[in-house]
Amino acid sequence: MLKVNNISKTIEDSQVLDHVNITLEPGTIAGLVGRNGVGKSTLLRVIAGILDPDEGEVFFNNTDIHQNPEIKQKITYVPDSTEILKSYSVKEIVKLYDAIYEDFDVVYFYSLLDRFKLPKNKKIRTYSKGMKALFLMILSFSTKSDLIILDEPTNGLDPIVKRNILQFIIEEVSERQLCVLISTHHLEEVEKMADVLIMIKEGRIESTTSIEDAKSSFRKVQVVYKHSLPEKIEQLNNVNILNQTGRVYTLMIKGNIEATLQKMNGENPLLLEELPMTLEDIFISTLGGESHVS
Amino acid sequence: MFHKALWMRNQKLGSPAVWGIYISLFLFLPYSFFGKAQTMLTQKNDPYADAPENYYMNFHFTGADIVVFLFLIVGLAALLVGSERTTHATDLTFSLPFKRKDIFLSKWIFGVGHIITGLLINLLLCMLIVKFTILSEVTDAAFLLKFMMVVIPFSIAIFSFSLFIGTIAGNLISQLVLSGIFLFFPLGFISLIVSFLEYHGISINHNAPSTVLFNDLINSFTLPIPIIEFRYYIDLSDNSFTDFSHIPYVMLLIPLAYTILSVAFGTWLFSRTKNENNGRLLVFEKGRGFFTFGVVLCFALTFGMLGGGIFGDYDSRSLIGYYLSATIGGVLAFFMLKKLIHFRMQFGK
Repeated sequence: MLKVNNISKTIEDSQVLDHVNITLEPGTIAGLVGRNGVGKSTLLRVIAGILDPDEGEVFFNNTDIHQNPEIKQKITYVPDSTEILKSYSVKEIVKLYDAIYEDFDVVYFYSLLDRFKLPKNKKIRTYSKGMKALFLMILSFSTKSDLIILDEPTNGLDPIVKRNILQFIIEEVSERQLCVLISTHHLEEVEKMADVLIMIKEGRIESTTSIEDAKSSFRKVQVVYKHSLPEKIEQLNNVNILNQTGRVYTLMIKGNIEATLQKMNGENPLLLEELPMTLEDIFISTLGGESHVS
Repeated sequence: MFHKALWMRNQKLGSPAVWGIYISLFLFLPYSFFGKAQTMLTQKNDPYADAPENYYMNFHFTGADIVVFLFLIVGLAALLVGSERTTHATDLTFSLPFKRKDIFLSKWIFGVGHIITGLLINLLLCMLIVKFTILSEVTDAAFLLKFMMVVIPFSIAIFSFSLFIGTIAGNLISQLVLSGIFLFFPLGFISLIVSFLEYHGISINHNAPSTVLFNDLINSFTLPIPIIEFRYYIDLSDNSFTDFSHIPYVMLLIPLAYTILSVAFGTWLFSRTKNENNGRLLVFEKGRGFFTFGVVLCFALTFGMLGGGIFGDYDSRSLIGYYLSATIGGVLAFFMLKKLIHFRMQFGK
């Protein structure tokens, strides 16, 4: 359905995207994660046809979206800015989207407004930030697009609305076999809903795996040795120290898990136990950084 | 090229300027004409005691009356392109299923449609007012047809050119400023060159026929001038005379050329626009060096022209003063531009 082919993009002499390749199939929710400034929004804007790549192509159903933007009848992009339609009233936007998108479903749109309790007779500027974000998402799904690109979609949403909208996205994907590409910093959302995890680091795709595969290739352990962490363990390439409090180390093992655990056991630890692992642990371990990204 | 949705989008973006165009044209054309007719009628019915026979028999009209309209058409172009770049609205427009060429041409058609409609309706109203009021005793409406022949092509050219500037400028303000500068560039630049030559002892005979022709040509290349300088004055009183000045019709080829080139290059550049530079002074990185050179040169020439007189008088001009002022102007422009070129003006994130 979506094929991002070798995309590179340089902005102000800095290579923001470096030969990025992504392939997404129908019925997929893909979470695009990465630290601030690694090129997530740039990548989404290239895919949406807002920015031109310096190199490479973006194909949707085998059609180059930059050469044939008409194909975007079936693609919608929801930016992280909620201000773009603020001068419109709900009715005006319905008219506009009905004129743009051949399959825009007005009845469905109003039913979603009711479902999420958004006022119908107001200017968008009177909405709160969260309501604007929700409104843009509803608008996007009402176009009946096959690919929906969401850039930081849940920013500003309260937890209840957020849960409802995530549930709604899952429903839509399972019913219509559409594809949703979400860029977000909220890793728990990706963990809950995404099938595919795309990690981006310094403009390159670090990994594209299913959430299950990602989790199975990592192991989080807590380990205590008599003295500090043995040098043998510290020097292993596939072991990251997530945290250290005194002699208590929280480690992340990436790949080659059983062999590494055996080596750890071989150094006679006082304690060695597996910890429950979240996507955030994988994020920190893979994409580097001592601080949480938000 | 024409798509209802794009028209609706342009309507939303440009509506303040579109309203301004219709209201200003109405106020400065038919409303003003009707006011003149009413004044004339009042004077006829209540004549001055010292000159009862010829008080009202004059009428004048100048293109400068609609100068607000000229500002508004530049503003319309800036709202259609520059405002989108300044408010992140390009993210919406460019993600829609339309070719960039069609987006640009839809903006052009939208603007030109409103400009022509506004001018035609209001000039037609003026003609009716001239024909059916006391104004018909003084003049006939033919001068309005001649004005129409000038104002429509030149207004379209001004709008097209400003829209083209929007494909280079990165935000609303830079589009407005650059449009203003480049619309007056031919006249302004020639003045700077003449001043440069005169400071270097090369005198220009301003009354020579070739110079007059050249001036006419430069005035026509400076798009707002033929509209502003259109002048019609008729006086049927004792010392009756008519003053009617407008450019030769062959000069109408100039706005036509401006329009064709602006639309062609505008479409080409808009299709290759670098949206990542939205909000900056310029959209394209490639032309920055040339642009900087041009701005520095023009500032240097302007400062030279203005400051040159400080060290001498009109008859004995000081070349040292000219170059000193020019250097100050050039250096100032260079450092100012260095700051401005990286400044990003964007709102509404």
